[in-house]
Amino acid sequence: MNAPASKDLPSAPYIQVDRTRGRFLVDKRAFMDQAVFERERNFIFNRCWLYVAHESEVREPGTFLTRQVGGYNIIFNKDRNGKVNAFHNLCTHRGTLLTTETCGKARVFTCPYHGWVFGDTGELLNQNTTYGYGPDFNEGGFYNLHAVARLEQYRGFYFLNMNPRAISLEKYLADTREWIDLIVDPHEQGLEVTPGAQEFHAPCNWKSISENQIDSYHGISLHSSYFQYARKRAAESAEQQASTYVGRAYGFGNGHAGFETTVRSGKPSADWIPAFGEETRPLIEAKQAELVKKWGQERGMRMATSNRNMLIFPNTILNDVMSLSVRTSYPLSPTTTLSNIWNLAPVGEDPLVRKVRLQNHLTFVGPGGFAHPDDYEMFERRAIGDQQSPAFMHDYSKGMVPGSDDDPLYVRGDHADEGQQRAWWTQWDRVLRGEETFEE
Amino acid sequence: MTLKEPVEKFLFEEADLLDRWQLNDWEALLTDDAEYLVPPIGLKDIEETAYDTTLFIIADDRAMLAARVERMSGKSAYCENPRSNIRHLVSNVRILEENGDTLSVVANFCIYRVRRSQITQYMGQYRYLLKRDGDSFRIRRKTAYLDLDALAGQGGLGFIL
Repeated sequence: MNAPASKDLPSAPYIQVDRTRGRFLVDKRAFMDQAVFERERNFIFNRCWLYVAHESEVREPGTFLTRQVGGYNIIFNKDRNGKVNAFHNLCTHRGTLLTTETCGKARVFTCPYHGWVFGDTGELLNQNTTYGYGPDFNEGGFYNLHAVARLEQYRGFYFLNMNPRAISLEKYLADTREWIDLIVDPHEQGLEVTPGAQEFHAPCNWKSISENQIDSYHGISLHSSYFQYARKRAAESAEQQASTYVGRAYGFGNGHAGFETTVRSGKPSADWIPAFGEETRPLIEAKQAELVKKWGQERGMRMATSNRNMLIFPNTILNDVMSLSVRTSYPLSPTTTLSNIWNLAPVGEDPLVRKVRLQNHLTFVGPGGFAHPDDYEMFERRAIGDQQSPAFMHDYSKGMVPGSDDDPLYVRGDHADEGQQRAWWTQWDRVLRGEETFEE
Repeated sequence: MTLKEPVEKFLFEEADLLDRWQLNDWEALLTDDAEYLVPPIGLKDIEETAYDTTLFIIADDRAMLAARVERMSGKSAYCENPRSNIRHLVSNVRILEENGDTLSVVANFCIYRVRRSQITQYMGQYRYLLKRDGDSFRIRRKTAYLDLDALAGQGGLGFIL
């Protein structure tokens, strides 16, 4: 019951590794302490590359959206010159939230308080007065909107970083780029976010949600009702399903990790299942043949049929499974999290395929899906457990080889082991202690 | 007797079945091509049929509805095991259009959900397409537009709105 109220991190580590016995334990305080929450803000969210938005969301110049990213309100836009920007969504006069819209088109942003007007390039255009300011008041753009320190993109996925000295996004993403390429390469016209983001607040720590998405171990237990349904949709026997629910886990470096399986829940791009309906069959099968022809049997079939769940450190999920989605989970407090799920689809996709894509997403994902609500219940039960038990260590040991000194950041293991979570937690620990700063 | 009375009676009885988790009886109210839709929060005035281009929260066709009822009736839908206490309040019922045997009906709803001593409210507007079925009706489409600006706390929408 007595969580330490200290402002500083306790000297005892949050992670305890017993290599001899094959134990990997995470202290419950990592999920509930205010001190950890504040440390995460400074050491993780102010230093890591954080997902903001996809290029398709600001195609036209003048388009903007607003998001909460790493504890900041951000305006993400494409300005009149075609440049993509990320500004702090606050008026440089009194720090008032500048726009309360979630998205739209705007050539200027006007603060209603005193009437300061900013262009879509961030430039302060006027202060709604003819007197009171000298000619050099805004010299050097002092009062222009504050751009975030760094904004970079890889294959259309925009990330920001609050640290001007951070390593490049490309270097940060390390070996995840191979999997991002597997997602983007099949679609010559690129990807787009479909309208209708799924957003929810969950009464749990953000790490519970983030690490759960690369946890393949819980699938057959917690999501048994989903897999029973998936079997029907794919017209498969229990034995067929079990024989394909196999795969590998990977650490990609820098704390990024994921797993890949071949279980069939249908992939609207290129892996047809009977639930998609006969009318989409020729389109989807033709796409699979095209991928094999263009990329070869192995890589083509991997694109077409394999499922990939990937967590880009610290909190960006890129899942290429029954649907293609990007997801983030940001802490609002130690025990409340804001989660977003965006569905991605190929540009120019046939309307029939688009329809089954959206439906296949909803079979599993989101607040009304056949799986996620059960995950939320587990996140909440974990949070309740953490509040109640006097001392507790969460266990992530599955698949640890006693005595092994392999680098956990580059784990290779069974998909249903917990090596991928150990990769992520090992990096979390290093970053929190200041051992890894992601600087050149 | 006006048409409004049997429509209200039907909607109130539907709400009662949902409150009592009688999901198989509720499923019997559906037509063979029924849909159950929950449009995304934050997109106002969205067309009910836009689920083929826009990501909804729920866009069940009849096959998915059957699977939803089966899943939520079993023990392994942990989001509702144990089940929440649910109370649907349905009001402001209006019949917008009568076209042959099809009625277009709107109603306001407020649903109270009690779970682990927490009360969560879900309010919004229903839009129904009802088909005449003898003295009563069946549901061809049920759309629940939520007025919430965020789904905050207490898990997902495992129960039926």
